[in-house]
Amino acid sequence: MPNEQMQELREARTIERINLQLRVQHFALMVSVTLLILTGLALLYRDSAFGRLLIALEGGFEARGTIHRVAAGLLMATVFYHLLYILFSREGHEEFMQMLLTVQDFKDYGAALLYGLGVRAEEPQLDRYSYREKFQYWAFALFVVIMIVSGFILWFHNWFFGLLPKWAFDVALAVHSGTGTLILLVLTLWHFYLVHLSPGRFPIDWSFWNGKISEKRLQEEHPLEYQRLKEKGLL
Amino acid sequence: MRMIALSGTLLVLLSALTAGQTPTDCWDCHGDRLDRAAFESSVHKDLACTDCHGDVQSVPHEQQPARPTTQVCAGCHPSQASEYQQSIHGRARAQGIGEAAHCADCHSAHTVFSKADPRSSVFVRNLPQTCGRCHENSGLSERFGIAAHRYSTYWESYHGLSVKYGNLIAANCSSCHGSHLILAAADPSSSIHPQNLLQTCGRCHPNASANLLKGKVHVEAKLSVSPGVYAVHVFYIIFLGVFAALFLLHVALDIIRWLRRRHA
Repeated sequence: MPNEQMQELREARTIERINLQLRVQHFALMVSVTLLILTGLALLYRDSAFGRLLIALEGGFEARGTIHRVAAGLLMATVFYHLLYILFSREGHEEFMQMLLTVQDFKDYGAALLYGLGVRAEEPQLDRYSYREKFQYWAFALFVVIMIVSGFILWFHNWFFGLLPKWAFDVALAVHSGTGTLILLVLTLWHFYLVHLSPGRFPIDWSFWNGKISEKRLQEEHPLEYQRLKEKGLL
Repeated sequence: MRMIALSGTLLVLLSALTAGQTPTDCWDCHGDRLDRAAFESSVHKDLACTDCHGDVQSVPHEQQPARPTTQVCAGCHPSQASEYQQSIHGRARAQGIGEAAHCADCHSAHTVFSKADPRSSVFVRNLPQTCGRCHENSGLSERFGIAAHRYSTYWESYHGLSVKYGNLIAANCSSCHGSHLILAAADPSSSIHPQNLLQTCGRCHPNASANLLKGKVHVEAKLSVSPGVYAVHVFYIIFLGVFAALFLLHVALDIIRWLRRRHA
């Protein structure tokens, strides 16, 4: 087969890289976090025209709070389901074990930086979950825990009044809005950039919906995973 | 209450007879500077001008009448006036501190409405502005050593937010500080004295524990006021700055990488 044709074929041939379980969990996370960010921003910027517009779109101040708490419920349910998935299903457990951070991830990250700067000639050879996926996963896990804990204190303040000092509520509020801003700017925008906007992917990567990746991109971005699948004869 | 109303009405009749001035005469000159419609819908609509401005003997009057004192209001509102006289405001004024609020400073002069009336300066949603005129940044804190930013810190708080967006049950200034009998926090009989604070908070939050009293009610992200909140703010400003810089670096590197891969 001529090389050009081969190239086209490898771009057209796709494999399902992300299974339905993960896609559904990701979708629930995406919906709940989007709602939480929009209703949270409305509160944070309540005195600006932008905040007032958001509050109006969300059906008023009370409804804004209700949507925020319903979305928080969806997020917590998703987290709980995810924990069950990685703890008690073989498939989920295997995915999770590949998500654990290793020294190699930090080496890969350094190598990628050096490659980007032009100091290194070769890109690091990345596996199914590279430093990119892992850093995002663990950062998100950490921030979600912070948001759930601080959000719980604020939500059930009357109960916590019997337990915590006043300054803890003030700190919880500052942490909740600070981490919320962080999640919006660092995680959501960065993540959005990585998966949709970065060169080669623009304008949208549909793998969050169908879980599919082309053979070509699999080989480029996850060469170790590509090789393993090839050896197993799965490609 | 009925006694007060009755004596008030009597006072009106009496003064109308003795002084002989009707509000109509006054409006001839003062109609352009005072909102007649607002006054005539106020709680004092049935009073004659001279009931409060007793030193005006004839129309027109040569001398500018004195501002009505607390004693004038006390004529109809004796219990409020006596509470006021024991308050920090009343005592400060008795000591000659003219800046201390008296009746009209909070209730306004000619547009006194019931506190349930949204037009009232002491209506729940307007009260923070009214108190804030002196307790935000009027310079009183420098001159008398009292805390400033009481208005903004309240509006930013949970209580302020609730009141602002329609939950009028949430605490306003007077819920914690009282109204006529406002006392300094250092005064043992003050509702916000540390020994009474738990009881004051407990009126709305029965679950409040002694531990809750640690920390400021009026929170400011300053090291000297709320160090925890201040530390969180500083941390996030630095953290966000660093991450924003890293993100931009990442984007730049990605573009370089992509170009290198294409031209490889």
